[in-house]
Parts: sequence; structure tokens; C-alpha cells
Amino acid sequence: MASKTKPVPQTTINAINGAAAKVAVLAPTFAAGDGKAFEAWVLMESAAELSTKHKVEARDHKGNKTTTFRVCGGPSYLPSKHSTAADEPCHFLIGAHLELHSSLRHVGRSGDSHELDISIICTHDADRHRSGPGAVPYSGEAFLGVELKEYDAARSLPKTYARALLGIAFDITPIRFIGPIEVTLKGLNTSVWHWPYPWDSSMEYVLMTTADLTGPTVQLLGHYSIASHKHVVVSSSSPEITALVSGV
Amino acid sequence: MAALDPDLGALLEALSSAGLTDLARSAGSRATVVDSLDEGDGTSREERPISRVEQLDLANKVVLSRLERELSATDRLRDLMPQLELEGISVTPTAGEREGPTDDLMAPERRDALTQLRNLWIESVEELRRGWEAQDGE
Repeated sequence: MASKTKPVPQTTINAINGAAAKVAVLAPTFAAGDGKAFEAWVLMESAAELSTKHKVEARDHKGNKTTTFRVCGGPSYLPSKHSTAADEPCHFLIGAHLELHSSLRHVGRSGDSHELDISIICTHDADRHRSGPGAVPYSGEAFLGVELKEYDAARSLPKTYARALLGIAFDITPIRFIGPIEVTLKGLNTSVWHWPYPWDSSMEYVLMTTADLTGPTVQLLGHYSIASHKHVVVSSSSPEITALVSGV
Repeated sequence: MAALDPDLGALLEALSSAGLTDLARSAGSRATVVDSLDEGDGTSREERPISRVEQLDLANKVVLSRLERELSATDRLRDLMPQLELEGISVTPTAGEREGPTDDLMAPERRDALTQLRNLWIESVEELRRGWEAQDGE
């Protein structure tokens, strides 16, 4: 009995295998599915967008200007400026008082730390951390936290992702979820309104993805004033990036 | 979940055995399970037979979009470097978390390898499509 011809010859399979092996060696973060090139693009595009309004400089962990930018491959602590390691992550100094970081861990009120893919934090607080003897998660004033999800555009991110970001936001800035409080003074028949201090609640959170978002995901985040951007495309004129840093 | 077509499986195995396990897994999963745009919680799945041609289209979309996004990000990063006064951008391993080699995002050979894989992938998908058409005609 004659066997059917294979629709794809072994030579083609071998060629794909060889090309994929090259990619695995030369692009290890692509092989791992980390979405690091996408994260680096959001970081650099944000820095470029910010440079239209502020002085923006790439800095190493010692605070020196650098031309070789190192993005951390995983959740990163804020390194000590005394570290002699050659591969500590870099950041951008925005104006005199702000810094733009990627993959930075933030300390929550629970004591646990949470990675945010893109963060804008306070230089003064970051310097205080960097003066210490070792790497630590950041626990100072923060202004922006972005969660990135690089997935197939045809997929939809379910509510699980919104719940996870809400959990992180709640642990880092619980007061953000508390509105004005009315204090009633018994006997005086009067009440006083108290607003949480703005610097405790000024941190903005954003979910950005290359995939789609389900309606309930957008609705859940929107209720807590957390912006979400779907179908984000790498380009030189990204409205999502413009929106991301518009408040800085 | 539908069974993955063996010919498509062979292509994805070629990616997986070379180290692109995550990409092959995502493409295989996409080819065999159709996401439903569920308005409840977004987690339910549509169960229905998926033809091999549809499986190929779904898997192809995942592989191509990932490779093309990586290439677009690489090119855009290169464009941004002068504006940000940078000469290089690399991803370093995280001590104690995920060990691994440094990934030089701007290395020309990295871009060449991604481009070569993308081109070969496009050719092999077309080859498979033609092969199936020939089989159907036998």
C-alpha cells in the first residue's frame, strides 16, 4: 500500500528547528515568553514622550548617566548604589524629582512586595533606598504603576487580571480606595468632612495589553478609576503611551 | 479541547524542541481551544470541532503576531535610542529569581534570527496548506 506524501517535508521541519534554535540562543527573553522587548518599548516610548516636557536622562544604579540601558529580566529590587555588580538595572531620571523604572517591586501595607512593570517614583525616596547597604523593594511615594500583558491579540483578558491588579493597588495604596469620610460630632449636631491626603492617594494604576479585554474587566477597573488599554500596538505614535504619562 | 493536527503538531514541535516552548505551547493551545468573548467572567470556552485549516490559521496568527511584535519593538527601540542618548539596551537576568543569559535587544544578529524564523515560518505554513490541498486531491 502506497503511503501518503507528508505535507511538510522533513527538510522544512529541520529548517524551522534550526532557525528557532538560533532565536532561542540570541533572544532568550523571547524564548522564555517574558514580553521583555514589549516592556522595554513601553518604558523607552514613555521616556521619549516625557522628554518632550522634561529633561530625561538614563541613569545607572549609582545615579550616573549611562548610555547602556539595562532592563531587569524579572521583578527587581531597588539596588544599592554601593553595589559593584555590573548588571544592576537602570532607570530614567525625569526632571529633578521623578524616576521611571521597569519591573520594580513595591512594598505593600501587608509587608509583601509586588512587581509593577512600569513605575514612576520619587527620586528623593529612591535615593534614600539606594543609600542603604543592599537591594530592597521600593516603599516611598509613587505616582504611576502599569501592569503589562503581552498576549495574542485574539485573546481576551478575563476579570482575573483586573482582580489581581486591584489587589496589588489595594495593598500598596489602600487609602486610594477610601473616599471622603464624614465625621459626625455627637451633641453638636454637626459633621466634618475629611479627605485623605492627596499624596497618599495620587498613585495611578493602568492595565495595558496587546490582547482584548472583556467588558467586565474594563468595568471592574473603571469603577476604581484604573485605566485599561487593549490591543496596544508597538508604534511611534501610540495614544496609549501619550495617555500613560499625560499627568506627569 | 480538540486534538492538534499531527502535521501542525510537527511544525510546533520543531519550535518547541529548539527552545521556543512557550511560543509553541501558546500556538498549540490557541489552535485547539477557541476563546469565547464571554461577557460573564471571560473564562468559559467554546467547545466545537476545529478543522485542521482553522487550527493552522489560529496557530499561525499566534506565532506570526509574536514574532512581528518582537521585530516591531526591536525596530522602534533602535529609532528611540538617539533621542534617549543610548547606545545599547539589554535585558539582564535577575539574581536569585530567573537565572539566564543577558539578552542584547539591539544585537543585529538577534534581529536577523527573528526575521529568518518569521520568513521560514510563513513559507512552511504555506507549504503545509499546499500539502493538505494536494492530499485532499489524491
